[in-house]
Amino acid sequence: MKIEYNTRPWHIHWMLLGLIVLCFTHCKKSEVKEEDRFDPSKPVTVSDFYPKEGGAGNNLVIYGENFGSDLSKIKVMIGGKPAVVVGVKNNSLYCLIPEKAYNGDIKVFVVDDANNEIANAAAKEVFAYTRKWLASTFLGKYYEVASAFEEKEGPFNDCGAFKGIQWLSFDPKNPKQLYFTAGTNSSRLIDFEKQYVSYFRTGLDDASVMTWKLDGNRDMIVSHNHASDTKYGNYIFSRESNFVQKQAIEVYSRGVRGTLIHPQNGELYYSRFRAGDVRRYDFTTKEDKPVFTNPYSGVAIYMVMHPTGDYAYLMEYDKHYIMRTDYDRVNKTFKIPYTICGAAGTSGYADGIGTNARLNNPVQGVFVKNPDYEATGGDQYDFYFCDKSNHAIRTLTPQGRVGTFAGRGNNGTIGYANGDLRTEARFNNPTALAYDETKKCFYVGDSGNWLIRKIAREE
Amino acid sequence: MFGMFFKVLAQDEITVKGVVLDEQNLPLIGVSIAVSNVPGLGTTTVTDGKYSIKMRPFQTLIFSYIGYQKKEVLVKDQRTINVIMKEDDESKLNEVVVTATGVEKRIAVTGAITTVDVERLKSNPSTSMADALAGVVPGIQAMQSSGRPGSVSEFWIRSISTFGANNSALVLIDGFERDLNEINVEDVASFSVLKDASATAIYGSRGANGVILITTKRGKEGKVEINAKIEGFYNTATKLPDFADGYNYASLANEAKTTRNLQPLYSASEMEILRLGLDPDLFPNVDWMDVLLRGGAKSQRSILNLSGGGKTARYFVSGGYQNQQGMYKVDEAIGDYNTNTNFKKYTYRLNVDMDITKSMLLKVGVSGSLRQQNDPGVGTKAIWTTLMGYNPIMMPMQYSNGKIPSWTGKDDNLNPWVQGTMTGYNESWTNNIQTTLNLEQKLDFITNGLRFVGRYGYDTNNDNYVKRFKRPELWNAARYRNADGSLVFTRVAEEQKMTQTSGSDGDRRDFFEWDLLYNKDLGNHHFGAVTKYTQSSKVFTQNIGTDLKNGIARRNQGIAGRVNYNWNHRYYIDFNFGYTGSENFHKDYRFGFFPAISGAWNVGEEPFLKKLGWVDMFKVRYSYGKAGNDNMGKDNSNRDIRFPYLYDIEQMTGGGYNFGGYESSNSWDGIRYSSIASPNVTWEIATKQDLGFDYSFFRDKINGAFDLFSERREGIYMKRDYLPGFTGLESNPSANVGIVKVHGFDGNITVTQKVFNVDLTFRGNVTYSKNEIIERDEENTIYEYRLQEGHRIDQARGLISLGLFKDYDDIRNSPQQTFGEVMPGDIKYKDVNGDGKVDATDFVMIGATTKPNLTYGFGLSARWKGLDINMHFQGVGKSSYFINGSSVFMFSGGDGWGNVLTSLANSNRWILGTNEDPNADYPRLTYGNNSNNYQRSSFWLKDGSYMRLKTLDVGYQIPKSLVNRARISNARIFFVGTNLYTFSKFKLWDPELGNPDGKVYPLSRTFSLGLSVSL
Repeated sequence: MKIEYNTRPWHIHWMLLGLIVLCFTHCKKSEVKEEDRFDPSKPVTVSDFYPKEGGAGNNLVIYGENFGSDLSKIKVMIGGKPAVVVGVKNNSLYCLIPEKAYNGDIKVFVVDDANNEIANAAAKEVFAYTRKWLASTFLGKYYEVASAFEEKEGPFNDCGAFKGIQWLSFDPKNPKQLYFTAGTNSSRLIDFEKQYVSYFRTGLDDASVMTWKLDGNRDMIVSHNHASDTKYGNYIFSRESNFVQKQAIEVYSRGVRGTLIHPQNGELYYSRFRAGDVRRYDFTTKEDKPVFTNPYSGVAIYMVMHPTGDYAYLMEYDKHYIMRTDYDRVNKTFKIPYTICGAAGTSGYADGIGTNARLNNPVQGVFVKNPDYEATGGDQYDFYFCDKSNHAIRTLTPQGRVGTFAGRGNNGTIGYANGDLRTEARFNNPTALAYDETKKCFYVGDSGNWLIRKIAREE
Repeated sequence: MFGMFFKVLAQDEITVKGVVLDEQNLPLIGVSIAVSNVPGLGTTTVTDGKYSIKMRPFQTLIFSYIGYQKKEVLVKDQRTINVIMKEDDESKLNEVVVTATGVEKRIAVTGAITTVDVERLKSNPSTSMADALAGVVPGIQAMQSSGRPGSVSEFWIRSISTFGANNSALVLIDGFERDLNEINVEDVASFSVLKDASATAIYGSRGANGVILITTKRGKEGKVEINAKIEGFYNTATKLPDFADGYNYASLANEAKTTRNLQPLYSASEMEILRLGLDPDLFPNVDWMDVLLRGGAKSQRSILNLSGGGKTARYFVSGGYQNQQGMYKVDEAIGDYNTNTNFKKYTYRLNVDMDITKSMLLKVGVSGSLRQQNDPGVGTKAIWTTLMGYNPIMMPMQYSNGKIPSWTGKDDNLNPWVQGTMTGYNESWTNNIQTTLNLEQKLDFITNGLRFVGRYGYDTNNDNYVKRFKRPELWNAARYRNADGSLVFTRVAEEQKMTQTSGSDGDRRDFFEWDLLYNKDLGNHHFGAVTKYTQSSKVFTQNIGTDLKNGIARRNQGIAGRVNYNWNHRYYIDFNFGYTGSENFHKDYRFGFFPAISGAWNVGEEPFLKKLGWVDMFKVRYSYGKAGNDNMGKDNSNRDIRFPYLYDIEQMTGGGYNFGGYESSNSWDGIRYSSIASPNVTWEIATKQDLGFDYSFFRDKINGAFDLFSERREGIYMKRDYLPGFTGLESNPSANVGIVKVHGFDGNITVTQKVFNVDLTFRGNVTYSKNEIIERDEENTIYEYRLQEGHRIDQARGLISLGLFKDYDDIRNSPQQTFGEVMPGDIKYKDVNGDGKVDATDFVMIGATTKPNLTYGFGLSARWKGLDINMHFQGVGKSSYFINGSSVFMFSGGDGWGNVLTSLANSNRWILGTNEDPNADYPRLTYGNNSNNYQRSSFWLKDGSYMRLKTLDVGYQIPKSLVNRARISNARIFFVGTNLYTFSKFKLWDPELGNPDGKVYPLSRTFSLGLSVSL
């Protein structure tokens, strides 16, 4: 038996199938985003900007109309200096304040493909430009590839790089000359007059710190860091011999890492690493005697004298804290020291008051007069110091508040970056610090970057 | 001669015609008509129910039609045969139940057994039946904790009753332990859930967590039947976490800083740049969900099966394919491979039944499946961790100079765009082949009613994976630009070219069983007896390492039996036992005896109730018995615990015995026990009781069952972590020490009613259980509430929140909180023990457990002519969980990791000076960790109960008059929507996930359209 089939009902299948397929085909809407373009028939206007004041590198948002949206077609001048434009939308743009934009007048230009100006507008108000402290590279070449390192003498623009920077010190009689010791590496003389960096040959296999005698000649004292109980620790380099001739202070001292000369009475104090104490040497009587025992032995104790001669700070390098010792003017010696900031034995990074603050290997510091304190009287100096393993320059106020002055930019730690002290600048194990009273700037011995960095206010 | 023969044949052929009608004398279209024992010869009725067939006389015509009783007519010399077909008697009284010892009528069952209507599982779009059980099957509680294609629900029968070992049910497919996820729902003939001891005692030491019995479809005598079904799905997420945009994120971050007296994180000018979108590199506004996820994904499922056969042999053949696509946005341009997550499942099955002699039946079954899973190279878990971690202003998708940003180089920290498209892909697959041989011999020649059944099964399983991973070079830009406007980049990870790793796992199992069954009716006395012998072994075939014990087969052996008697189907008594052993235990503890006794009184059959007329069935049953659980869970290397009665010895390293003197060491590495033997360890024993009622009233209009149950689980296997030190043990032994008590109820009801022409059915079911730890090895404490004893398994614990501190006076006048400094707006906790301070001793039980303790479902179906609508709601209760993680505890990383959920950001938040509400929904913000606020407490405890429209199923049966002309007997198109709407107090993500931090692939809302056709 044969059945004749009508083929039509099969269409139902295809219809159903089609229906199912239809359910899964969805139309994709292609959204064409219309970009705002500069309209030549309309003027460019600047209506406002924000913020109204700031310094180099700060953000500035400019509001207006008809900026277009092509980054390459928009130029901004602030205080006559070209500003980097980061982003632009037709009604707003974002640029960075250029350096030295002192006048603060804001102009926006629209240019054509050939970079010819076709429209411009200026802001009615003027941006209040404030001069900022900035970090820069003062001396030395930054080697991205470490093996390319070159050590040499030379003019400022070609003097290689400096390994092992430990201690910076200006010649008190000739502030145009800045020395640094470099431990087992080569110490240097930086001559600002001749714009030249030359070797400073101490003849010591590990020159640790440097200070200056108080007598008329103001001879130099360089310490020899060694591990022997039968060797001298400090040498006097005479000015007469142009700091070539040296004569030992004939006291055996091992591991000298800190020295200071009292600014009024002229006696020498030095610290000993293994013994963990501070001793006093009198140049006139040649008497050498202990002053106090440090709470810890086996600590490098760097010492910085307050300019008034009232007290000194002891930088307890290996224990991450700073102690203060007050000067006993009656007995002409120092008293038992006490903790001023940081926590003994606990490294870390924290700003704060006294023992709430955390340091990590504090080294050289320098006292800088703060004019704000004139009105209140009392201690006039802030203490700036290298917090080596935190890669920062920290501050310590007379009230004991520890802050961060420079470094750790971009929320980072170690590095090499110039610019705004807190948002941009980075250091690599800054160790030595000196302050130039005349130029009002700091020099930083950036030991890990093998450079001398400079921190100064915009001129 | 031959020609003559053919001629005779030809001459003998007659044409039979007729009409097939139903009982109302309406024509039936599409009735299948086959000639018995002549394969391939057959036809179907066309319009008006007419048919015509050529056949030889003296053969039997078989008329069959879905929903009607089969009718056989012997054709002698009639030429016209008109048939009236009777509808199937679907009475609940005749419903059958598959039990451990074979098929029984529902009325005769004395244990707690639920038979699942398989049709009710078919609309589920998932790849596993496990996802369809919750809210459909009374007595099953389930939870789906991930929506990734291929992931399946976890489920328990009645309750979790153990904290030590595995708590999942034993699943038997065609009699042998197999994986529920590999079987195709269309192949299932019956699905039973055995819940009480009388039903599972036969399984002895393996039956304590309940048993699921599945039998697969087999061929029926008759014309070949072809069923095909194709479905297309569109999946979208039920609920995706919704995150705040960049500007809101930054404002909140600033608030989190300033409210704690810190500098704001973003300066005013940066906020302005962000608002205006002027710096897409450092201040972007990226919707990472949108970067990585598409709106939805498509999936398909198709099934084809054929069945038929003759008197002596019958067959059922099926094949299925399912493809579930994931919702990641992938790079189509890669072309060579797909990085999206997806799951594919291929299944086949061949069941053949052969009558070897009149009394001997051989059943052969071969089946297999291939399940294939794909995932991006970093894996789905890493992706969701990232999505909850990346905030909109963290970084752009790509820097304007083409560099690819990333938080770090770690897999779960990578840029989501990279994760989805640039990390290669992982492929894993599981395949298995199963063979089942079944011989049934009637032994009536020995004595009437005696039967022998022998079964043999052989399965192989293989799991394999290949991971192909790569990663581009990744960068991170510093927070501030250089003075010249350029970005400062740090490389966070270097490029990794594609590498490959692979691995595999496999096992082989064989099973052997025989049953001897005997049934005898003597007037009103009905006897039955079953003896059953079982043995099984499972051996791992791959990746077994060097430890010899991993290569030894895991064997079980047992003998079980059942004796039952009933008088006139009114009084039933039933005794079951299992005497089973597991060689995992010491030989003195290897075999155990698990008896169970049950009885039923079929009250409905009593004359006094029969008189009422409306009671079709009312049965009271009770059972008491024991079952065991020999699955002790996994060891440290994620393998089933093996031979706990053996010790392990290891070489000591570093130290050992020291013979040295002062300043010089001279040690000898000795050996020691790395784990000491626990020779007395054995299985857990569950003692279960069940009181149940089965009912059917008003001619089956109302029917259902209700069970009250209780269980005491003893000998729970656990580590003795709190032995005193003076025992001198170097490792902690294990022992059967825990006790858990459970009680609860489950039940269901079905009501059917015809309103005008519409058949309405209401179904409802509920399962509730409460477990309580009676004993476990735990640390002694002076505070009773700190013990786990007396509480639920996995009971949530935390501090009790009293709201937020109003002001500093409030802080001063409250007990001291010892977790960290507090400010007004921080969470205030209750000092439970009244010692004046809030500390670790104040953690108490709060809420319930993450896994639900109450599961219910109800639904309504309506059928009108060819149209049917089915709505099913499902819900759970008594569930609660803590929320935490980087997006709940806003800014808790303190480093920019963690996204902010819109609903938390917009909640009634405590804001300094603006909204100092002590009852606010979110405490004072903190940038960084807040060790006071982020304690586990009732503040962060969320109610996990929900109710959802689980399925909405609309189908239309295409009129027969249309489809029959296309030679189709039945065609139905249907639409199914699942998880369409959820009612829940918890709004952050899907409550069913029970997830604390949202780092999980969401569950799907599915829309599907399908067509099923029978030929």
